[in-house]
Amino acid sequence: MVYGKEQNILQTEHSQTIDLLKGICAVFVIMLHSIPGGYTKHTAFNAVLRTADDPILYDLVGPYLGCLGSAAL
Amino acid sequence: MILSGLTWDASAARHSKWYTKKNLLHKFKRMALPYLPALLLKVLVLGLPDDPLIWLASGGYQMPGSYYVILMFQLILLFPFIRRFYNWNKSKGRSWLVGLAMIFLFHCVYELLTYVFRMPLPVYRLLVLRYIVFIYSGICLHRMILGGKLDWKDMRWMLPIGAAFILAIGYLGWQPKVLFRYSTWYRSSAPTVFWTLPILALVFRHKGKILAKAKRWKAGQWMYKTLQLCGKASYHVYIVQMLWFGMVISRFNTASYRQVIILVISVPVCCFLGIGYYLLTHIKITAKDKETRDSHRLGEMK
Repeated sequence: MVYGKEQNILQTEHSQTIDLLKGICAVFVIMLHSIPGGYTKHTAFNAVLRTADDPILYDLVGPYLGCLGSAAL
Repeated sequence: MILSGLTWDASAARHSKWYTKKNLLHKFKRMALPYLPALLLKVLVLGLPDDPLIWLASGGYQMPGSYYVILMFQLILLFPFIRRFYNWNKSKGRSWLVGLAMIFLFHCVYELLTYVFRMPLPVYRLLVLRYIVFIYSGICLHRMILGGKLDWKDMRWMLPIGAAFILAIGYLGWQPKVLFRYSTWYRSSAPTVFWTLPILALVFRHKGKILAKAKRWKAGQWMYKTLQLCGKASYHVYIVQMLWFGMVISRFNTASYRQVIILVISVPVCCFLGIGYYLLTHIKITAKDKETRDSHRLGEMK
């Protein structure tokens, strides 16, 4: 734990960092709303995964399987 | 939401009791007062809805990010429970990671319930429970900072999990069917906390270096000051961007070739209007506070 003057300096630094991060977040939100859905979709990847019968397994394993597959490709 | 958890935990540490009329009213006012003029503007421009009560409960007209205010109102009531869970976990000698895993599991159960009961998207959108992992991780982060035990290296293992989820959801077109199945909220659903939390921890770990580097150049200083002011006014900027995209930009044809123009215009307009709105309300509040303080002093002198 830190106490006294050092703690005050740290708290000021923390609040400055928090403000900075909040500012970046605010700009990101505006950017996100300016370009909605600005990303590409790999439909073949999704078609392969849809063949899985168990939806829970699909949800849990899907992202990791997909990334491994993409990395392999 | 992680930052909300962090700042609210710091705020809760300053108040011995959360559920006091004064504290609840103060928090409610801070959220509601900047939002009311926006709500009024929406009514003036778009007219009154058929069912005003439901309309009001859902935060008014559905605009980009209009759910946030409603979530914050819920968080005012729910936050002490999340915080108490953290304290209870700590008192049992468990690490923050065990608590995070438990909350994540709880979140998964909640997601499963939304699937079983076929919760409609507009309801899901307005419930703060979908962000509980983020709020909890904000509390964890704050306690680590307070205790001087922030080591982002302990969190590095989370990065590949979060990255894999985001990559699959956002770029490869993977669509979940049971958990985190609401397509509108893929990119802010619970597993993305594994990506965001270590990055935030890294920023806080090296905050001194980042701040010093930002202040070294004139352009950096300007950027730093503007972003910091934007951060102080983030709630107001958020309200302004909601109105900007919901009432102004939505009237135009946003074909892809125009999106860059929209981006270039929207960022400065929303930031500066939001900062202006914040300063306007802030000056009013500061003046009111001064007035109250002066009247107290006069009362004491009498």
